Amino acid sequence: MAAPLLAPPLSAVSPTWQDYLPLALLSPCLPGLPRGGLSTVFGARSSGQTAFRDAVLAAATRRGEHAALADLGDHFDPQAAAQAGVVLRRLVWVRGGGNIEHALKAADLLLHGGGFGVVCLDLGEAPAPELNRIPISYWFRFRAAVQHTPTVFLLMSRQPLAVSCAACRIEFRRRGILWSGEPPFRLLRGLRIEALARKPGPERPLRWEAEAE
Amino acid sequence: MYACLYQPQATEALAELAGSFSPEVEITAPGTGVFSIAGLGRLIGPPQQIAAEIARRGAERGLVANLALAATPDAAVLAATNFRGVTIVPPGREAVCLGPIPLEGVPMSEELRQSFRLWGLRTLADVAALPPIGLAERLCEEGLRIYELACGRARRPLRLAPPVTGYCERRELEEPVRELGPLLVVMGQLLGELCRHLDANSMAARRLTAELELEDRSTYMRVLELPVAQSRLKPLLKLVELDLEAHPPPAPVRAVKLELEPVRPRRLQGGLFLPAEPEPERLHLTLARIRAMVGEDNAGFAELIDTHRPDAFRMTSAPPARGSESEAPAGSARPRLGFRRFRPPLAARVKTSDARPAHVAAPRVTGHVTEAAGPWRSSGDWWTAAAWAREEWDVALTDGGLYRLWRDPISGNWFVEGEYD
Repeated sequence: MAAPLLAPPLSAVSPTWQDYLPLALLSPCLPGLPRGGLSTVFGARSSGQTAFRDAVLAAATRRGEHAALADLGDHFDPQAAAQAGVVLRRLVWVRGGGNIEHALKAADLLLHGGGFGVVCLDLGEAPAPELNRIPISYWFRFRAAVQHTPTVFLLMSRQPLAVSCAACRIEFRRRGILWSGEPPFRLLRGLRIEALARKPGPERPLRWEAEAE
Repeated sequence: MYACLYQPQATEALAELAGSFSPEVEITAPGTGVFSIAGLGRLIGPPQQIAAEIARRGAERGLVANLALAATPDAAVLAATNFRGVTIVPPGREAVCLGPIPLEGVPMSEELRQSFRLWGLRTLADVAALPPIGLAERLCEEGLRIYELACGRARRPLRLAPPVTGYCERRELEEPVRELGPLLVVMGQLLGELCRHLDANSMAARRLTAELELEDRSTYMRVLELPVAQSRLKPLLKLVELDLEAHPPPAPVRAVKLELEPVRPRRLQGGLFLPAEPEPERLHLTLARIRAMVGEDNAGFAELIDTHRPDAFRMTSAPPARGSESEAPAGSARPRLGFRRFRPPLAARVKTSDARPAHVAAPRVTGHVTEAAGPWRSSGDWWTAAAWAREEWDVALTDGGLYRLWRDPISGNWFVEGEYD
């Protein structure tokens, strides 16, 4: 008698690069950011979100994938990103000029255009009232657009957004600033960052340091 | 069978006359046109009647030319270029008919002509009388070719002239059109026709020029440079639509002219295990849609400029060339400190204590300085009119942010350049 065909238990399935964009920063909690899903990161000022975004863009573009950034406030710094390892000729950058509707539509067009390894929507400096006015249907639309594609959709903001639609949710906190030397001869060395992976699964903290040049 | 027309002064008229009998026309040399008359026998009659018909149509056009009909193209060419009037070479009788042609009238290399002269050969009949194997041994391939010409046995297909395709369409409108919608319908029809021409010739368009004749007889022109050559109607029409929406014609349009610049299409071998990338045509269209929304210079690829000037980059619509940046794997697994730039920099009021920033007040950034590192002085381009100089400070404020400030040493003004994140 033939044995019944059973799906392997979830824990036995090892994630592959087709399912995740590998990111050493997130190990051992997560193998990376999930493809075909919406990942949200949020945190206060100087909490390390941008360092994380640049690390994600660098990971994708150095693998040969194309990435896109819909940048609401025109805050992206190509020089800093290039130093972080982002291959700029594989990065499409849309400067939203502070218009939140344009940034959302641009992200939507990029997602529907297809072919990107990462699409990042950076709503970083948008005031809370404006963020709260974004219809929730946008997040569902983004989730549907990215589903069944090999794209990581990364949403960055100061406050948590798209909570129910996110496949992965990470909160960033700054644990300290790294200085060297004594006043008046101080030198900025970097930031000590804590990331709390709130989704999927139970909350797990990750700590790392972002180095200055 | 083949017909050859010879008139050194009228190549175009010959080609036109030949084209009226057959689509297979070869312009062998200026003033010499050969075309196939296979199948005309059932339509017109025997070779004599075909020759008469060609002569009649030539006379209608005022064309005076030699005409020859023969079983092979080369025999027809030889007869037409060497015999005046109309010549019909019956199949199998080429050697006899072409025999009297002097060797001076046959195209060959000067060296071979000299050899024939030294051997005492004067006509094609003399060459045809030679043993072919001996001729090949002494004069190689070219000698044998002349022998086969002399015998009327040289067979080859016609070298057809490629059809001249114009990638330009124009249409006049019955009434001047002001709205974009009806104009795009007309442009869609013209573009559809042009795309069919592109497809038929396996070409793609690199540049699209739209010339709109306005109601006041002036001309409004738009040129679309396409980073990726395209041949499909839908994306091309969408690009035209986006461009005209951004730059509408200033007056109603009474005529439309579209012209494409054709190039060979892109050939790319994909790989099964290579990461996916956006389809170039689709990416270009997506970027065009986004640019129509956010502005021309606000979407594309950033290219760093080789200078120490802060925030020096340019936006390009196509990916910058490889080599402008390194692709070596990052040495450290640790992330780099991110930087969020404020564009333009925020003008700030800074209170100092012991020549160090103590309090910063700028839009969205206010607080007492808890830590500060600096000043880091830099300058550049002092040999040009765009000279710059600055004193940078890295400051941590009580609002929780870590910022980069800079001071203009000439004016003494302070700015918040961005936030470390």
